[in-house]
Amino acid sequence: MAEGDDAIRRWCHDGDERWFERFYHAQATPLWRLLVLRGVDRDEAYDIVAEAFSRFIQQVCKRADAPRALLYRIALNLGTDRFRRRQVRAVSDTDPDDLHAPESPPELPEEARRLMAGLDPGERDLLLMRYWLGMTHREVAQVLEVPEGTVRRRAAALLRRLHEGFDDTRCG
Amino acid sequence: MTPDADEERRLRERIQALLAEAPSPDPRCLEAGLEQARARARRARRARRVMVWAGAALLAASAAASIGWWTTANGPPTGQPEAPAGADKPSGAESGSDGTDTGAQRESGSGSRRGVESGDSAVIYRRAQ
Repeated sequence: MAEGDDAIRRWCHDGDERWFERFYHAQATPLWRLLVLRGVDRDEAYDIVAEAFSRFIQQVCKRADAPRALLYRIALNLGTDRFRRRQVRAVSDTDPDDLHAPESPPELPEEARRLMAGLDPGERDLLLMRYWLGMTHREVAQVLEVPEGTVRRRAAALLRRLHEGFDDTRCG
Repeated sequence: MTPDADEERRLRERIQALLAEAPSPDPRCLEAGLEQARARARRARRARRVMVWAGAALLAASAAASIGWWTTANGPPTGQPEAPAGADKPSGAESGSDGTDTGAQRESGSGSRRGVESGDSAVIYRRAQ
């Protein structure tokens, strides 16, 4: 069971806010970091986390089978929506600077930035959720709303690519 | 071909090391988000309570309306016994207004009735009651 899922189920059951706070403190930081690693601006990431939790509250008690997956799905969709709106504005304002793909934060080592830049958005999300946050294949499937088998297949393909990539860097 | 567990573990450790320098949030900014989420949670719980009470009131009103309709359609219970069978035929001790002993006639099994006379007797019997 994902960390904090039991806490949010208890909150749904008896309404004790302390359970909700426990879940918030367990998930808010990794969620914010995930958004920033996906290229979201830091200030915007705070807004997205707050908005994601607000929407999460409205939905979670209706289907509390995978609360963490629901939260991350909402947050990732919000991040994608904001990026697309910026792209639309950039096209209409003819500002090409906003059209480029989101970049990794500058604090990351060069190797990590190259790694992230070499992945498409789906691979990047899979890498961050599965191999950085430690989500199970099933949770990742619930976040991305794809079958678990698809996640396993993509994870295996990603690992092969990463393995080759790391071998290249070691040799290079 | 799926990677074995060891290979996956090694790659996971490598990725975690690479991303260890990922930025961390300012706790104060996250606390502001928590307050916003708390306020939303309280509003959601109040709204749920209102919906539950509204639903209960609607059910009660619907039940009351159904009972009212049923009562109107079937009429109120009268609570009065029906007149016993043969009430229009008085007993032997009583006689009709024309002096006819209709009870004796019945006992004799004549089977005939002088309709007018038995009708008069019925009126006297009912009036006596």
